[in-house]
Amino acid sequence: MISRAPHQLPADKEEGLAKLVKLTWINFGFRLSIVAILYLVLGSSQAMRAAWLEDVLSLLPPLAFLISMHYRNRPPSDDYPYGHHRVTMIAFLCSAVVLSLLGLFLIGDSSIKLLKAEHTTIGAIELFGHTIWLGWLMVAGLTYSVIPPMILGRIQQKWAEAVHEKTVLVDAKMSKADWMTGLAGIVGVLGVGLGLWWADALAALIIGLDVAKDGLSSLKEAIGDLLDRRPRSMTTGKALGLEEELEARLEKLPWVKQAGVRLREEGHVLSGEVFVVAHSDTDLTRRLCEARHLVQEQNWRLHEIVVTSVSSLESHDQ
Amino acid sequence: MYAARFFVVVLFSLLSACSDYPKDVENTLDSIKGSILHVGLIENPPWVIATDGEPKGVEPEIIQQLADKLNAQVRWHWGSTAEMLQALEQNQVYVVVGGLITKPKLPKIVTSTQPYYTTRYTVGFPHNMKAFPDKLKGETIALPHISPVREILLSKKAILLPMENPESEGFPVVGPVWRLQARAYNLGPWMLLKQQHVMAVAKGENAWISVLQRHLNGLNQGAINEHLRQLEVLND
Repeated sequence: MISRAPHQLPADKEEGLAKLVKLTWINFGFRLSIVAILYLVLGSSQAMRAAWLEDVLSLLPPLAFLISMHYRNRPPSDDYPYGHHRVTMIAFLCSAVVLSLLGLFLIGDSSIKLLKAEHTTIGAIELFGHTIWLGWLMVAGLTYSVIPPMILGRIQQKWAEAVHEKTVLVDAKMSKADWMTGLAGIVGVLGVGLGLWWADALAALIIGLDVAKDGLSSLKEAIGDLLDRRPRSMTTGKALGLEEELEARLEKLPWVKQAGVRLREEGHVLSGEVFVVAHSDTDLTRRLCEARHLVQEQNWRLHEIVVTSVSSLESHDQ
Repeated sequence: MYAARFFVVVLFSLLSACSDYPKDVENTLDSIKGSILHVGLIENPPWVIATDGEPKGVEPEIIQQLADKLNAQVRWHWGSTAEMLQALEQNQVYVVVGGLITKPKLPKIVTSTQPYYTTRYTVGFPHNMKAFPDKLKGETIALPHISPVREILLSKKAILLPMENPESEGFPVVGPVWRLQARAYNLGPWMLLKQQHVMAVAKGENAWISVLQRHLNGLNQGAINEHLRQLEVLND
């Protein structure tokens, strides 16, 4: 039995990843503080509750990333000969499912409130001897919930793209949804203060739609990953085209008649097979080894690509 | 980023447009000011006491003070809890009082103010009893047949004597602190139950509930306590 060699990140990527882990901890800390602060001023506003629930669930992606970081660098073992890279996919799928369900719940709940024309009550509370409208505290809490994700989300996106961390990239999207949700919540609460009974539920509905959209697109992405879809660009969603690039590269080798490549994603790592049709069998083992090195050097994400020789690509297709 | 800017602009234009904030959905506060405050009453002494004339009790008095502040006349409407909460939902009355508490919860068709007073239940000992026991376990305690602390006392393994008139036999009795004080019992150190008192208001009337809340928050807790005690004494 043979297990895979552990995947080594290039030094600069390794550094980028360490920075990303630190950023994720900071992000997680801020989100925890937001959840705590909003809980204190929760009240009965629908939009407020929606924003809070989203913030609670937004704890999951960074947590999933941090936990998966802990496991994914475990070297391949006898029981797990392919390593643990796919743990990030599990994390990714879990957060996508939760996000989708939350979005659907919010849509249903606030639609019912709108249809029933239910009025939202935001009363007054006593604070340091003064009676103030709870709405102002909600607005203050929501304002706090808007600022950190607005700043951190942008940094996350840049850094996650550099080291190809999908969980963090989804989390950056979540940060964006977070601060937009916060603003929608503020508008909802202030609308209630204006005596517009529908403002609150409508804001919650919009938040729900946004959350559901994020959740479902992440879910699609996660399912694609698990079905071994060909690698796609994290930013544009289009196929990377790495396969064609490798084929062209290999076919330039004098001994190669034809080459066929297929790749899949395993978290940040790409793996797959290369089929080559050689002009002759002379020195084939050494040549295949040369081809493997060539492939490996093309992209830091490629890991343990198996290169094998076949008599023809067509017959292989059958 | 444009979305964010748009939100901020909308937000400030909304805010600058209003002097009285928050507002009611059904304009309750405006219709009370200088006019009539319709109040739903549920009989529940000493909070709301029915008489031949004007209602008595702690809560009608609190409401009367607020009406005076708002330059409004009070019209009292008596009824059952179900009747009054429905009337509230349909804006036939603007506030319902009757010793309402936070637990069990009020039905979802209405909302309530924040608690303005807390009733504490403890065990009172007749003053001829020299010393308190350390624990309630094994103590004989008299209580009315219907009492919110019955389960709690059972869980503390006290021996319960439900009776028509618990204060008649000279046993330790359980009850709200103000009642025990009115009957000159010595109070035990246990806090068995807290009941938080609220008033019911229609949902979405945020200006009205804020004004009511401000009035309730301004009440003197000691004065409410004293009032409750006096009403208990009168009741005897």
